[in-house]
Amino acid sequence: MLMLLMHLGGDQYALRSSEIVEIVPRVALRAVPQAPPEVAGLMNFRGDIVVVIDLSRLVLGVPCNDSLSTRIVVVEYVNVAGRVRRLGLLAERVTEMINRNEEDFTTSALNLEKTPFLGGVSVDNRGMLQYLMVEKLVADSLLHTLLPAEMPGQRDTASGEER
Amino acid sequence: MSEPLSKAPDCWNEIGVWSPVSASCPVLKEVIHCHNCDVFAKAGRDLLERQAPGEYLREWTVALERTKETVTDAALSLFIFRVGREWLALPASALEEVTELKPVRTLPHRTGGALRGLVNIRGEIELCFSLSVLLGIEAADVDSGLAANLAQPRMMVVRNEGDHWVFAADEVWGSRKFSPEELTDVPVTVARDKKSFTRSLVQWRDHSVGILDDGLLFYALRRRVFG
Repeated sequence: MLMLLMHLGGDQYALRSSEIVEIVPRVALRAVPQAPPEVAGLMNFRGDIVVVIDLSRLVLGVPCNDSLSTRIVVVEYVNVAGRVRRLGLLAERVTEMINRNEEDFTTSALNLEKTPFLGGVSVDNRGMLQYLMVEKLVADSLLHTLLPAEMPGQRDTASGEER
Repeated sequence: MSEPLSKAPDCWNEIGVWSPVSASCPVLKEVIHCHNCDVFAKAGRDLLERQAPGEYLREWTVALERTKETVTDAALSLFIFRVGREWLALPASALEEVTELKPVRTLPHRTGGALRGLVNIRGEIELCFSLSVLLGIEAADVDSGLAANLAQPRMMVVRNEGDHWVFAADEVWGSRKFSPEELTDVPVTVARDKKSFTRSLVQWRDHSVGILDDGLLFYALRRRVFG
């Protein structure tokens, strides 16, 4: 399974490549007032309004740095209503693809309720690597209110605040 | 992560393959070339650990706002080239290859017409034609900028019904896809001209490119050659 390697702080994380639509450079984002801090903002991705989540902020509590390798990974997921939705994930050092088997990731003994999107850990010569699950990230309670399942169309993602 | 670039070791210049003295790096025995070495790869990635300039950010913001240009399946793939002052196009599927100019052996008693002679293309003797004579195209003016640019004349080998035909072009640009909506009709006055093999026109950069009707063109060529 081909995976995209990304860094959050000093740690490595990997994302399944089949979920990725496009990897784009960091762009100027429109701020979302009153949004949780992990919401980096809204981007115009080829005509679609896509919510961008700062993964570093979500996982570590510090925003991503502004280097050239900090990129937005546009991922696609199927929401509860069965619609295909897009989400932007801001992460650091998005420069490499790797090949890993799903079996390589062993579930850590810790079961962290607050971060259900963090999966098993794999070890290689460069250190430990943790599996990041997009579908769980979206299903996470916080993002669930932000990205409501029943809202039709891409443009409604921003109005999730009202709920 | 944010170390200044000047401090990065450039071992590939000192003991690697670009060493002015000798490639003495012990890792080279294993990786053969610095390109394959992890140190080199990491140094390349570290170049991206710089602050993104504001301009870069703005440029990409604008670039991503535009929807991707998608070319429909009905698109026409055209090969664009220049003869004299005219930009012309042929269906890209008809093009066999583009080669450098080759010497043309003229045929006795057949000079001056569209048939220029014979050329050797990969050991095969093919007929070479002048599109400028056939289509009545004037040579580009020296001061028009067309003749003065760095473009090199080429020979194009075009396939039609199993035969190969060679044409000389003053400049060869390459192929591009056009959607059917981009094509415009040829003015009636031009279409009536017997010498016109232009099927339709397409706007490409600042030029109006004439799309040659390959069926008609090769029909005319066959009649000229085989009588």
